[in-house]
Amino acid sequence: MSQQVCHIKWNADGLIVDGQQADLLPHEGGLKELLAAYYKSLGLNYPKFHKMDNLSKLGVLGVAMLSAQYDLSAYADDAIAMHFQNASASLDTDWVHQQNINEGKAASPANFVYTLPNIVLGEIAIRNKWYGENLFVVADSFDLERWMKTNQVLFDQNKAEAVLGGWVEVLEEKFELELYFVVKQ
Amino acid sequence: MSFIAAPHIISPLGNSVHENFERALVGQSALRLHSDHPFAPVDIPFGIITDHERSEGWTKLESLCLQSCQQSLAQLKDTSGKWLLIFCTTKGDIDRLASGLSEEVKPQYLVQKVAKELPIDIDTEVVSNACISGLLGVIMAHDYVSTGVYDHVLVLGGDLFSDFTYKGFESFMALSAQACKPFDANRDGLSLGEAVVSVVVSDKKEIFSQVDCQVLGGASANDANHISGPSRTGEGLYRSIQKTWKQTGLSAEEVDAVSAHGTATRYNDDMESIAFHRAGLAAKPINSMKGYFGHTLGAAGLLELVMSMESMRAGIFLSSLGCEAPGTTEEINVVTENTPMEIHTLLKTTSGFGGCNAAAIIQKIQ
Repeated sequence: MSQQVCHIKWNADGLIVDGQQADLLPHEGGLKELLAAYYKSLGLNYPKFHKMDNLSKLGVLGVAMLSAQYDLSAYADDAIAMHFQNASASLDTDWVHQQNINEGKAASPANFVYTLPNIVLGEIAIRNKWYGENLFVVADSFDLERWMKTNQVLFDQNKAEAVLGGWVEVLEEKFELELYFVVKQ
Repeated sequence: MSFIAAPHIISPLGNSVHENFERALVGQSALRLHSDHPFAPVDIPFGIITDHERSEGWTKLESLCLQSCQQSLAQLKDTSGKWLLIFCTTKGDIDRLASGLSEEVKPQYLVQKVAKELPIDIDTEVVSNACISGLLGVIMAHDYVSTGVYDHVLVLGGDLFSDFTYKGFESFMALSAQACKPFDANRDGLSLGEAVVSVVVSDKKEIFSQVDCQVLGGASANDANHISGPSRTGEGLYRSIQKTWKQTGLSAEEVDAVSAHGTATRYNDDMESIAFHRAGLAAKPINSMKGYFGHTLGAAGLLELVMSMESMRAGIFLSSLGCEAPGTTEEINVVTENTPMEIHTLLKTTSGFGGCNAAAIIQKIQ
């Protein structure tokens, strides 16, 4: 068995942290500027953030909000599995790489490295020094019950004490984060 | 514990496990120059499938994925029960992106299209976890059937040589100008290849007409170090191996051979040597199959696992084609000639961008 102990839902309609709803922070421009506004308001001092694509930024910010809400430091460095899903994989960044190719421009290695959806897991792992299980699944929509079923498999197989993850989706300025922290009972 | 059988491989070396293994045994490589390819440079070898059948209205990858799944299912005596199809891929049909964003470019579109054509009711899942995808799919399959969530899992790995990935790896300066030389002292980069591979994992032995191996278990771990650079301590790979001992109740002493990732980039192969050394595996026979196929990305872990199963059956551990004189940070026992040996227990490992690593153990059924 398991228990959901924290939930964050974040999209263009607003931000809900454990049922507490708030309007989005004021920002000028698009998603990049919105994410920068949250980086600032969370007081993060993490220069690597600025090199990330929007998908990784969204995931890293979500986990920073979650860890401000719920103490994750009690867990061993490999006890938290990361299991994320989304619909568009890394297409938001793939499209930038593809446009360079289409226009005959040189590919950018700094961009190419983000053309895999599991890079967001890597960025979260680096920032939090987590060595746990990694799983990135691509699906049409977020099926919470199915996501939980896979988490239960990780618990039953003694692979994790907790699962951090959910839905992290970015495509052409549209974004959706549904972040959960689930604890093995 | 779960059984793993009914494998199929489509690669430039052949269209069955048997063809692929026999050609590998005589030292054939899929890596060659392509003078007539629409975008591959003519002076660098790649492993591209040029001889294949494609159905009307189906892309090359879709066609090969369907064919491979059909070949795996055809090897079963009984297909009743609850099924899952896991598609393991890094980029799926990414070259469709050249004409713009669409639903068809998404890997879930491909796997759903394939699933509809199969003669069984089957759920689908896409695992896209960089170059550990194929092995991670097998580990998840083992975990799903071991916990009774599914009766059988058809694991499918597929990635093609694409303009998208070629241009990316070129910008990384990660490509070798020659066929790659895994674990060789003079290695200078990877070679890109393509393959589509499938296999069935089930806890019911009786569904298979032939079954030689079981999956004992596996695990993944992150380096928590860098998104594209291998860890200097091999931390994630080391930890994924340690967790695999825990999952299986085995230890390094009980492993007969290791099928490594061995991409032939300087840093990756050094990282692996450090992790194997730390894990007490330095003296074990170790190979990389990248010299036969090139790096097949999301399919690689599954391709090399299936080839290893055939090795175990044949009693021959394959040479690390391309490696003439091993040379890595830590000395490891890289096998450079086909070696007749009894392989009862084999450790398979993979590592990928995003700092991810996976390890799993398969064992011959007594």
